[in-house]
Amino acid sequence: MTARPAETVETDETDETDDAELIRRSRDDPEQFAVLFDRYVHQIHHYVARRLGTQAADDITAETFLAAFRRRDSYDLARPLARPWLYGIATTLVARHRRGEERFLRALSRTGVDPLPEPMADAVVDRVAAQEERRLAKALAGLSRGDRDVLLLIAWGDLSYEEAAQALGVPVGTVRSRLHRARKKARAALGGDDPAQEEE
Amino acid sequence: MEEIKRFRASTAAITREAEAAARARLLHEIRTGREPGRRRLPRYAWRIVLAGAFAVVMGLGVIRSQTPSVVPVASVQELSERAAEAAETHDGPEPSSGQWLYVKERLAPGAGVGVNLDERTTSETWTSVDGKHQAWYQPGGNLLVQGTHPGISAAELAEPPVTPQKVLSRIDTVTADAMAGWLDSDGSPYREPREQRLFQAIYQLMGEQALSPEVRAALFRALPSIKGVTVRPDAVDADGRRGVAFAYTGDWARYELILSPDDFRYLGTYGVTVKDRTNYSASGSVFVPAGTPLVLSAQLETHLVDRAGQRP
Repeated sequence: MTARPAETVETDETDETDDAELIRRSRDDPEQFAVLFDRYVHQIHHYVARRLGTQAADDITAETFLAAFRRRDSYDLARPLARPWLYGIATTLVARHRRGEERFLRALSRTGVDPLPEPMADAVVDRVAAQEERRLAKALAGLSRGDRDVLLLIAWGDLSYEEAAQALGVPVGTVRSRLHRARKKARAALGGDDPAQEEE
Repeated sequence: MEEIKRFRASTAAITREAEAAARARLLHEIRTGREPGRRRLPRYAWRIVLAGAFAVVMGLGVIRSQTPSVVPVASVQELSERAAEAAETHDGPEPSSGQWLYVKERLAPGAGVGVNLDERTTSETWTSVDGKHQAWYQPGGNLLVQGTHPGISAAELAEPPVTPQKVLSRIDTVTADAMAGWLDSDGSPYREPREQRLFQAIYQLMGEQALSPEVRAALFRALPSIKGVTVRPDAVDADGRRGVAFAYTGDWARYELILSPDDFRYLGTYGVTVKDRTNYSASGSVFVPAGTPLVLSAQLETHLVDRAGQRP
């Protein structure tokens, strides 16, 4: 027997429905919320796994959707896409592992070897990071949590400034200033190049 | 931004097992309105969980005279979630520091390589509630006390936060260290698949140690994330009790962690080879055909006692 979801939720009527509508329906019909899981589980997991490794990401991804489900009554239905909201919850959960994240980044910058445990399913060949990546890891490790969150939500989560502001519950101006600071620090650490150079 | 966007972009995607486990947790919450396994126990809320231990002790005859209907369990996630939930709701006596867990088991005795399924012996062991030591009587009547394998204790696993991934990675670290120096029968370094090592450590912990409800539930939830773990609905323990089992099939053998199909308490274990193999040793080589039983056990009683060697 292979692993598969315990049950499949009917999705016939929900494929075209926007996230806000799904969340609204889930207030009376909670199973609708599973569709949101199916839409975003891969993105959220990938974002968290890039920050903390796949094992921690397994737990945090599950907890992100549980937390979102519990908070669905407070979701702002005027926002059709739930991505920023989910990324925000995941980022809050990542914050609990901040020290682990910084330790990992420093180790990567020092040795060039990714020290995060790989998923048990995959025999992944050890890959030695390029010099560029090692410097980048060091730069990211040196950022404050708030600055790193903004930078990675935008770079890895593909959120806009407005969406990052929604995700973190801060004004857009704060997102801009944090991103500015993050880029400045990263630039200094990389010796002049701006790795976050934005084509604005 | 491109440089940062590329950084760690090749991180592996979520595994099917992890996705299914996360989905199962969400569906459980959706359907029951509560998420199991996240409650924090008060500091002294240590409990013996060997779920249903009382039922075994007090109602052995009753249980054996019934044939519990085998609950159909569709997937390893579902079994995991149901077993975890049952573990969490079980309230047993709380062990106090210095106590020992007495475990009485029925076993198929060893027969060269493997065990003899036609015979049974009874075994009594005592495990300290901190999980560090195990004791049993030697044939001469002396009580022998040794360290436990994998040497990881219930108390260590119970350090918060107790999550499936955390208990698994802790077991992984300890068992990998413990086996680092082992040699195989031909003298080469012993290699065991990580998944098999984890699975065996979990079933051993479940059968021998006084785990808190939270830890036991986390172990159940960790099982689906071990690649190769499946469900067998038709398992039988050494006492003839039918159960539902988590099974792990490796290159050479399959191991089963057998649970009661009605309340998911621990019943026993079974292991059998699935491939022919020749074992080499100093005294010669031994051919072990596929289908050779390696272990068959049934847990009959568990009690908390005050010292090693004390019978309830």
